[in-house]
Amino acid sequence: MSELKLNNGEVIKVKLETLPKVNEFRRFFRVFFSRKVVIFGMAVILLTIIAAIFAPVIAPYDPYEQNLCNVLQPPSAEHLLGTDTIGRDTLSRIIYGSRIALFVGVATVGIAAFIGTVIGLIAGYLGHKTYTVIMRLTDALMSMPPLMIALVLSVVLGAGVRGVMVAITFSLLPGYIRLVTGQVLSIKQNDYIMSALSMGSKKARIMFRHILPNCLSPIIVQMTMMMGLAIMMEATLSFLNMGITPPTPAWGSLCYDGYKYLLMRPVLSLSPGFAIMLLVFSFNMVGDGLRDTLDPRLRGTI
Amino acid sequence: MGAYITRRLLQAILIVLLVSIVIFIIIRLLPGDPIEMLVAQNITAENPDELVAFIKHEMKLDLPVWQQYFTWLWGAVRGDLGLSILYRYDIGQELANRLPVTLSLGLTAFVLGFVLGTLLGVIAAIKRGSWIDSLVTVMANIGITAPAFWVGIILIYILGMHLGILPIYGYTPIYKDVVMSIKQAIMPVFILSLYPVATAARLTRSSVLEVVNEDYIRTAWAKGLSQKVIILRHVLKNALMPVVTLQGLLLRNIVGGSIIVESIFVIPGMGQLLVDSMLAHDYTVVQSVMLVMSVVVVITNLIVDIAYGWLDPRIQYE
Repeated sequence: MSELKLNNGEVIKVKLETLPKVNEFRRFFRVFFSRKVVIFGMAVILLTIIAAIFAPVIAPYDPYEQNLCNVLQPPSAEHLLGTDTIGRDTLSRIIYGSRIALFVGVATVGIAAFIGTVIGLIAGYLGHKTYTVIMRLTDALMSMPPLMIALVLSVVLGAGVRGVMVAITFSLLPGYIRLVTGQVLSIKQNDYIMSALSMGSKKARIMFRHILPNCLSPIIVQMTMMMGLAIMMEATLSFLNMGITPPTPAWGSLCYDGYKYLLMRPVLSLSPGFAIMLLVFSFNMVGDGLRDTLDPRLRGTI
Repeated sequence: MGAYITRRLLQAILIVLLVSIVIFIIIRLLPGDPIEMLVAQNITAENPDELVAFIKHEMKLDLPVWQQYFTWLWGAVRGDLGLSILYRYDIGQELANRLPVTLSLGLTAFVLGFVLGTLLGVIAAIKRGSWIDSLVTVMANIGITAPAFWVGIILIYILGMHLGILPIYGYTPIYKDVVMSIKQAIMPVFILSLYPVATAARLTRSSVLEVVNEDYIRTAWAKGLSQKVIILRHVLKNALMPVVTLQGLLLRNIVGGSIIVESIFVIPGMGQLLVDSMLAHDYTVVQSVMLVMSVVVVITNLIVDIAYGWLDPRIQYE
């Protein structure tokens, strides 16, 4: 019981009923893991991370080890997914390929999200001319097919991990800029921004202390979804021979190498492709789950 | 509507200009000088340096970069995209031959994606929770996450090599041989439309489910309209808004996807030309293909925007 003083001086006693305290962490886990497909996705991602880190322990063979007496073997107990044209074990190469896929995915998405968020914050918050210039440039980048930009840029920068990373980062960037700018524009209308302004907060403080935390959820969701896209793009570039260069095992180039022997050994090109699809699917499902947990209002918009 | 179209048109022109600048800058960054490579191959040349200078002068590559840009842009506006550095063919002519190939496959996939995608999405939403809904959802997720080149390989393996019912490469214009043309187009169009169908189906489903809960739908039920009228007139028209917006984005993916599909199925379109001329360091061709691809996307976006303004008149006054 606590006392409440009314305007006319009367004092009444009211019972304050507080809502039962919700453990945010628990709520997160309950909602997040309520769908089986999200659990599945999470499991696949964790397994892939483990496979990438402990590749030397897990992989049955050295992915670079050639064995010319043992080329194009069908799947067997010794080589679960067979061997390629110079006798390298396909399974080992796929396990090592997860390193490239995850590394490129995480790095490109992280960098693109960081740069995109900063540019988006500036465009959305400063408004006027800055906004117009940045948005028109974003529109221009948005009207170029991402694969086309990535393809040309990775040739400009020279095929290889570095070139592929810059190319994919650049093609992911406009999506983030647009997302963050949109968020900032709507958050800017809130009263708490006005009160922060009237209290004399600096622009940078408002941008990073008040606006940024409020647009983090969609950014995180977008990052998970973009992981799938980035991994797919790396695989596509490698498949077209303009991405990760041999002999480094990347799933896309494994697919391409195996494609030449499709009729004889379909497993060579089908298995790495399946790995790509599984990982991309998992990231998308986890992204879906995160979206439903972090901000159900976003359902259908991202 | 007139003012809205004019404004959108001006915006589109501005975007094309910006795109052309971005492309021009990227191309100048490409490694290797194709003219020097060309001359180096020609061992009979008596004075290579002079020849390089002569070709550069002839192709206007000795001008300052900004002058080169304006020469190129002015040419492009008049439909003159210059000559290929390596093979000396007229790029405009070559693209005029290749654009219809890419467009015929791409637009078929685009229309298929919109029609089939919304249809599946609406059916899934109406039959929410049924096996059809689950099937559409699962198929949509597979369609979004399966790499295009991988689906291509599977189709070639099953339909082309094992069953032998479809040709595994090539392209025939429809006016030359209708049956062959359709047979050759089935796999490429299927792959190109996979992602658009899947995303459109997913978005339509969630959008319809959202609209169904609106007050005006309850009103429509309350005044006794039939389910068919409610779904076609009230639900669909509102639920399609986000799907129409999505179409503009999907076109980028189809044009990008044509690069993959044309490489796998050996189709003489723009995507193949892009890959080939990039490997050959043929600058002028690469920049022209990039420009035309982007212009295709911009024009389609313009049409989508105008359609959107017509569907939802509120947009016109924003």
